[in-house]
Amino acid sequence: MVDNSSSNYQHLFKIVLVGDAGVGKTHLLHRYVKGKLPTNKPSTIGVEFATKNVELRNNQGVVKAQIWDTAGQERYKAITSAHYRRAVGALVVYDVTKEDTFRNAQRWMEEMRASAEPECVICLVGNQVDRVEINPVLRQVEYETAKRFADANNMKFEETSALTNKAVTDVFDNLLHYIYEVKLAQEGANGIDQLEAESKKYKKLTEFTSPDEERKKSGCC
Amino acid sequence: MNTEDDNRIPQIAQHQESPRQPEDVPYSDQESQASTKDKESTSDELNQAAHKLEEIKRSMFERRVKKFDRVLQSKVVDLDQLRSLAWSGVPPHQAGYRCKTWKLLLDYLPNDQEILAETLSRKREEYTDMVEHYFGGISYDNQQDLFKKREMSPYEVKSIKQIRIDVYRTQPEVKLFSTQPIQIMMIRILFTWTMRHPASGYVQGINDLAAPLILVYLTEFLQNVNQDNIYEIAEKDIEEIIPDQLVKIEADVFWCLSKLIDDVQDNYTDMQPGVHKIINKMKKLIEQADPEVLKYLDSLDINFMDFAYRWVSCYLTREFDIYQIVRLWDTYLSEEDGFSQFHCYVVSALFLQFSKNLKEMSFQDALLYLQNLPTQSWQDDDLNILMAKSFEMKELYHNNNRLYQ
Repeated sequence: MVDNSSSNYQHLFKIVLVGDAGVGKTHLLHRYVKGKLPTNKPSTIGVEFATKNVELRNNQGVVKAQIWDTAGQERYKAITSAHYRRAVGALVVYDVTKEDTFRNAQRWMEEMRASAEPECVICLVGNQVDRVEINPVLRQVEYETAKRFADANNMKFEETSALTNKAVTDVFDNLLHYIYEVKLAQEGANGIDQLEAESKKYKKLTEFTSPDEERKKSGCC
Repeated sequence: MNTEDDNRIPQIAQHQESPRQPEDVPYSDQESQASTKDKESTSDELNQAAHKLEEIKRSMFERRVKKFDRVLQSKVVDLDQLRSLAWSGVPPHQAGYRCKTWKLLLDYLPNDQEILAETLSRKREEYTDMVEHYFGGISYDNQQDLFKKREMSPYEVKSIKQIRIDVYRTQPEVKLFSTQPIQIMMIRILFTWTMRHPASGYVQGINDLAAPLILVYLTEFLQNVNQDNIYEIAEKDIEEIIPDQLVKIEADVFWCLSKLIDDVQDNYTDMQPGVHKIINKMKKLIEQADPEVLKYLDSLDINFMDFAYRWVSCYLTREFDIYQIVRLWDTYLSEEDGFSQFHCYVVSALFLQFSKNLKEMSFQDALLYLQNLPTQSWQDDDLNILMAKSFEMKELYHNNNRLYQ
């Protein structure tokens, strides 16, 4: 179990959630960060922010995921797109029961690619799959179609349900691992060092450590 | 209430006693005087003081109700007097007071009672004509058939989709907004508004502005519902309102929403320049009042857009519970430019109220805090203090031209 409030982490990854209004971005985020669905959640206006500390596989350290949830309506693009910068990962979310939200996923992806970090890892997410499990007639986007689209555009792909918690943790956790791997492969050991240095710099900038904590740290390890 | 707030109350009371609000000494002033005295009192005296305080509150309340009666029932309503009365909140228990006050202050009702009935029926007719055009009639029972009566353009289809998604999740804590008649009403209002305002179209958050209007105008017809318990208004209560009355409410909400947004249209047009303007001014106000906290947020790389955007564009409907929203809007509607100008002082005062807590927080904690202010549990007194602080800021800075550049 990783302590979420702790400032004890080795990597800091900025991730954004994009996609049409009503596809379930906020629900996915809540499910992942808080382990439950939000009760009574109105639409997201502008951006909302959450973080989670996650332990990487094979003792690669702890990553703090800084996740930005965004408003889905086009009109908000000017504010939300400011957050694409410096993002190293993104979930492009659509609703498997609404074909138009899948068609728009292409636009969301292109916008991410245009403004995010060049090595940004994007995962296409078909949400609300619980609804088609109950009633297959509701499905408007086939798994294979979405998978092909994702493969052709160098995206990961997963179908999820924030409601039943299907694959939600996997989607986020895998994204964090992919980001780590990409950094590792692209930049080699030096790159990761550099990344860590940057993380530390950023951490120093963003975290307040009380003298007490500082003492604790040097005392125990 | 913490001690720092206690210390500020006498200052605030001075402002409330200024010519603008001659009759509205806030209750909290009485309370704070009582509480300093009580510190050395025995419990008996304490009880007596509490009792006396209750009495003072009750008699002040009754006096206010009488004044509202007098103002609202005169042949030609004195709007200045009404503004100065409503500024500190319209008494909620008299159904219809707030409804009438809001309509008058939004300049929807004429203040001359003689032409009131005629104006009202003309406006309502005008609305039903529009609805006839877009929807082929008004009914409150079938949401799915709402748009079936004609062919629609892609823009209309897109707008409807967005409006539907948002109407279903408007004020989710308040049951009445999940009842079918109210959802149908809201979809029609927002769609009709959208079609008549092509420069902005529907923007997420406009639904939040319609909700308080619907609630206030609806409660006029819900005489049997306890006004202290609007969270519990349910489908069966709405069913008691006959469709003819629902149509009137719907038309009134439509026109009042239009009036309200007319003043702040550029919050919702492309790039939302209105919101940016308010946030820029807010930063300047904070720079004057607490430059340290501004520097600190800068050092954390926290952008005001990331938390204040929602405060500004949704008029704090996401920050407060529905009772406080309605109370807040009493003041907004009583101010000359409540939604376009005074709002800026309110969001600034709100920020400053919590800014002392920010100074030791990390980026993450500060942002989470600002995005989830502990204001959901606020009571009337908390809001009255915020209003007084906002008024104080306005008095201090309103004519400071530097802030407007």
